[in-house]
Amino acid sequence: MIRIAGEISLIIALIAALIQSVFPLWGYKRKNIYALALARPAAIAQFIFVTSAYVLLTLGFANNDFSISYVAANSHASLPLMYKLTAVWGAHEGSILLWILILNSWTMVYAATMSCQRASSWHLAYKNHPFPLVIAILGIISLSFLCFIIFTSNPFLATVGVQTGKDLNPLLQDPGFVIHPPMLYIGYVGFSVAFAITQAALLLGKLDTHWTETTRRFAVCAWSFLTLGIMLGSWWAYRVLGWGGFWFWDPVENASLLPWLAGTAFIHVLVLVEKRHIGIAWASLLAIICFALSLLGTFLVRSGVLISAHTFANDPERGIVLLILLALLTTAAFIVYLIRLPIANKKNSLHLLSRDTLLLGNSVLFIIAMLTILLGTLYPLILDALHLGAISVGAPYFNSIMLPIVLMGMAMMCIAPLCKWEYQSLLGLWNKIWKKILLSFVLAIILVWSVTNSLTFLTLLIMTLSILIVFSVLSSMRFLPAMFLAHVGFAILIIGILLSSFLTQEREVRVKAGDVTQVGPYQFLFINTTGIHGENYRGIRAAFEVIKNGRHIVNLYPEKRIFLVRDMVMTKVDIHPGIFRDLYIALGEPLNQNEWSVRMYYKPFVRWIWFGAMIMVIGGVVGMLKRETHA
Amino acid sequence: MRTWVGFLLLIWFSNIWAQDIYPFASNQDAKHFTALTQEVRCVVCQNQTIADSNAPLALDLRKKIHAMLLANKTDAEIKSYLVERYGEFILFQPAFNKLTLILWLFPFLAIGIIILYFSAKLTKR
Amino acid sequence: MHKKIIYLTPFAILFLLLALLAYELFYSDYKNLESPLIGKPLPPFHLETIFSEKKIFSEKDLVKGPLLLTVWATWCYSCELEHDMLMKIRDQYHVPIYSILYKDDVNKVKVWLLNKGNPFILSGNDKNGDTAMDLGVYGTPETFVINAQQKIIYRHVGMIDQTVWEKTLYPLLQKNGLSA
Repeated sequence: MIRIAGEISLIIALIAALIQSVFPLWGYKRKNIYALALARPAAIAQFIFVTSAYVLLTLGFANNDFSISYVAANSHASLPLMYKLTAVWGAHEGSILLWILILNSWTMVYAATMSCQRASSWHLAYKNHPFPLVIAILGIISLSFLCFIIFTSNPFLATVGVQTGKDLNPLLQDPGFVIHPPMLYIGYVGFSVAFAITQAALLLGKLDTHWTETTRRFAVCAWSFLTLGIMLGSWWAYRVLGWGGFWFWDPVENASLLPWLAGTAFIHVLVLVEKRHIGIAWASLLAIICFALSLLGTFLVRSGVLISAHTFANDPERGIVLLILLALLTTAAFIVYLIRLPIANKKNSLHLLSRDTLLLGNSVLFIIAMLTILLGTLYPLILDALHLGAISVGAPYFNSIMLPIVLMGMAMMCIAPLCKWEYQSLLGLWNKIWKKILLSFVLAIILVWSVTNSLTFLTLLIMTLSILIVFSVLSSMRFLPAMFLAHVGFAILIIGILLSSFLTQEREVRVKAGDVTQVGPYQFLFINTTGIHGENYRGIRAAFEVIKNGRHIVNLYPEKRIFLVRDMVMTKVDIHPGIFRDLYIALGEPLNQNEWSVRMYYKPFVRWIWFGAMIMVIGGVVGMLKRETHA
Repeated sequence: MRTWVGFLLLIWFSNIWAQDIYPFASNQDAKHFTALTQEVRCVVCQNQTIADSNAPLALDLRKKIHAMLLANKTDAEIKSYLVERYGEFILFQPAFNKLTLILWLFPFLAIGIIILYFSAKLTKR
Repeated sequence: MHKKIIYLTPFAILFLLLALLAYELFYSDYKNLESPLIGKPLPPFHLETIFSEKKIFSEKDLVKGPLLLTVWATWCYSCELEHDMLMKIRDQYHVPIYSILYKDDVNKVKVWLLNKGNPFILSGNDKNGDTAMDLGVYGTPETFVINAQQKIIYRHVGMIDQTVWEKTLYPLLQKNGLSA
């Protein structure tokens, strides 16, 4: 029953999407207000039926309806309810449905925000206002994905034979799974709105202040969610994977970083456009690039072309459909861009040193960073396609190559807020900045020495730049709170990465009950192990006591869980979080009757990474809400 | 207070300090081992390093690298040992050779080109 | 003109990207590791034998190639499946086959070979996996084709079945001097 209702909902949604895409476009061509007026109701209808399809699928999970093959593949009667409800996005088909739901939700948000801005007579408004066109473009995107899901990745397919459910992948049974994908998707998909608004503006030839303001708000909102989503992914990987890392340069992680980098470039160029009316062509191109990258990310994760611990699916046939979708949408976008390209009157002078050039240069740097990561991720594929052998491009490469780029970016971040628009004299800049540089340097030396007891050139440089970034935006705290928060957040993030990489200590030991391990300033005492069981697993829980200077700090309980349905073993890590350090412990393998191999980590300042990212997210939200006046 | 003294005495008189699975003489050597194993790919896993994997091959390779480091082999020797047997694929850091020239130089070339282009444009005025 | 080039660049990059991805979707091959030992002489080894009167199995004990050297274990399911094929290769095609046991229990191997038959001329016991590591083995079973100069000319990962034999291994052996 649920299954059939779900299928029907999807089909009706498809019809609504068709109407939403075709009629407004036709209405523009023929100046037919009734066709234009169909945009909003069609969008609402599509939203309702997509939501109902999603809700029905969730109900299927909640009711253990294993007649739906997707539910059978990803759930089990004994799965805890929280995961039953979120297993909807645990695999390929359901996650595409989530994508479509979020796209339609964003469309509704756009519709709602535009209604309060419409002119009184909706006849006139509809003829000149980009609203129906934007809705139509969003409709086209949704239509493509609905076709993809109905014809190749239907979550409502019937189960063949009797099924008791294969349970959700144990690696996903963690609170991180409940929140990371939705936040990430809201970010990814949000760039579709900025894209649609920009394409509509290009088609109408109306790249005006209305366009700039609307696009900026939606882009910043999407960017905030994307930052949040990536941060949550990093935090989740840290908690679940068992070796205390927060970023692995895995291809799927890179796939989410690419739209983030392009998105950051995009929102910075939009500031430039809003304030100085230059860079409009570059901004519209960036809108397309952000959108294309989010589609590319969606493709890469599901195609199976890249080796990754994260991949959802491995089906070349579905992959090629997604690729064709990507090709069609982006090619159409580029063609519109090339035909309707605003010929910017490059009369306005661009001085070598000014906030303008720094913003432009920074956006270019971000795009180069994005291309570098894209190249690195795809390089093994390129060599393979040319039959030149098999190599791996992993974390050591990305860490090495991103370092100089990040340093350059940070240097620009320090200078730009202190530069005036249009023209900044070198002398004026020096006067503003030399004291800050000196102060940052001194503070950096003090901080680095007191915390790490050693001074290396690189740590000093990074710390100085980070502190300088904070100083350079201090004066803007009142008038540009968004920039202040985002930049300060970034500085904290960098300091977190720097210090935790430098100061982390790990031990991998064999322990039996009563053994003590020294990690950093802490002693870990192994007490005992006990058998445990949960709703859908059995396992062993080890008890450790953490002691420092003779004082009891905390008890930690790492576990090894065997999930019965899938017969998979999972390591459950235990962490004692702290503002200045994390204590992290993971069980390895039982070595014999009494002994276990265990990994313990002392990780100073690792929380600063996510704390810094959170502040960036808050900065984004503030930027979206407040009306910024760029002094 | 009593527990503190008791604990101290316990540690002092009993042999309960845990043993490292891959013991080294100094902390620096242990960090070197960690750093090195994080550059080696577990070829039977889905994109993990041998430091992060519990696959049998990963454990064997770690044991081997541990033994080689204790025998004072250099990083280059260890890496070429691995590449001889498993190919370049096993190293996460690609070598710098003709094939990977673009990979390593791309960002700097791109930045260079952009700077040249814009300074040419700006000085043309 | 100048501007056109700049504006067409992203389009060109996109096109190349899509072409690459489309190709790799269907023809990607880099997940099958090609052994870097191909063309090189067989690395020397020195193992205790199992199930033989000889004490030691080393590369000097190999007959003149072409021959097959397979690395396997009783605990590996695919190895069990390929056993019949190996018997066939020995009996029907008269190819010399040697084996190296990867981290296996000697007694289990003896029982296994007694029950199922022994297609191998000699079998060596690689208890700690060092020899397998020298051969760059990453997943059992793996079979190496050795030629008359004792060089490795091919490495097959996975089970040998009729298709693999007919399409790849047999022609290769024949090319390297296998008498019919």
